[in-house]
Order: sequence, then C-alpha cells, then structure tokens
Amino acid sequence: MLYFRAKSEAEAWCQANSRRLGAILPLSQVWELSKLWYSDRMAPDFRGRTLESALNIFRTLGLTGDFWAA
Amino acid sequence: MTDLKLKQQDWDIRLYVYEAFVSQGHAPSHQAIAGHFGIAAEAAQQALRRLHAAHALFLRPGSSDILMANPLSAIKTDYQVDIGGRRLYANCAWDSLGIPAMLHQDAQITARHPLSREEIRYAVQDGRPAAENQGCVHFARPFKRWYDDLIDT
Repeated sequence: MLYFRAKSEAEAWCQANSRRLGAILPLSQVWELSKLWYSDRMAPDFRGRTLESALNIFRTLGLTGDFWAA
Repeated sequence: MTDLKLKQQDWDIRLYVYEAFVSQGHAPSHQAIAGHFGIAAEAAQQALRRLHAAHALFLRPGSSDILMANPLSAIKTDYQVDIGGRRLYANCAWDSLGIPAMLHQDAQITARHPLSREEIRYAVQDGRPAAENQGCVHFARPFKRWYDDLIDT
C-alpha cells in the first residue's frame, strides 16, 4: 500500500508501472481502518485476525464490493 | 488469517517479539527469543515457523529471521515512523498509521514518494491524522489476494 498526495498521483503511478488501479482510501479512512485492525495487536490476549472479524471491520467502514470480499 | 491452533507459548513468543521490536527498534533473533524463554534455539525457530505459517508474523524466505511483524518492518522501508522517542519502520503506507494505532501514540511519518522519491511527511496528532494531511493510500491488491505476495501488497 502506497501513500500519495492525491488520487491523480496514484493513477499516474499505476500507469507508470502498468498496474490496474486498486482501491484508493483517504488518509482519514485509513486511520480508522488502522485503529480497528491494529489497536489490539499488542494485547496479551490477541489471538489473530479471523476472516470474519476482518470482513466486519471492512463493513464497519463501508468498504464493500468485490475488492474487500473474501 | 491466523490459525487459532497455535500453542500458548507460540502466542507468548509472538507478544515478546512485538514488545522487543518496539522497545529495541529491531526484531529479536531466534537466539534472543530462546534465551528469554529458556528454550533451545531450535525450539524458538520452530515456534517462529509456526507463527509464520499462521500469518502471525513473517520470516525472511528460507530463514528464521523475522522480516515483518505487522505493522512493523525489520528492514528500513520508505515509511519511517518516529514515535515516542524511537524510530520504527512500517511495511507500507497503511502500516505507517498502524504503528501509532497499535501503540496508541501520536507519530511523525516520513515517507518517500513512490514516483518522485521526494520526502513526504504526515503525522498523527492528538489521536488523528493532522488536519493538513489530505493524502490517500492506494491498495493495489484486493483483500483476497493480500497474502499472495506480501511484499507487493
């Protein structure tokens, strides 16, 4: 996952690297995703991210569609 | 996704890896893990391989050296995270925010622009991305393919 200052830069990177455009999320949404995904990563009782919990996180953030599907 | 059948000591080792990573700024060796837990070096290697197989951390190919304990990277990357008086490296742009989220602290991130290679700075301040940061993150691979190639992902 790469950081860009604007969507147009991500599109230019894809073109320069012959890559299809994936999903582009604003930094604020990536922060919300980070909190849900990583905030418990160093908790003593952390036992991994299950598929269902991952999909729940995506749904919570409105990340739907085939790109975010299992 | 993580295999939930790991042994309790595997999970203890995993947590130790994270704590050592954060406190020392680099991943512990299997010898250091063995010394901390009072187990044989081979047992530490086997535990690391189980954790790798379960996607709980990731080893360098063909070795028992830790490469990633997401969001942390054992090698310098384009995503440097200065946090709580220490410098850590993230595996990617998402993980650069994952480190302050995991440590529940603000952070200053220094990245390299993927095209121009110029330095870009953004920050987490007061528990959220700083107001002046209007950037975005490109997720190249769909979720179902994240583990096909973690480096590319």
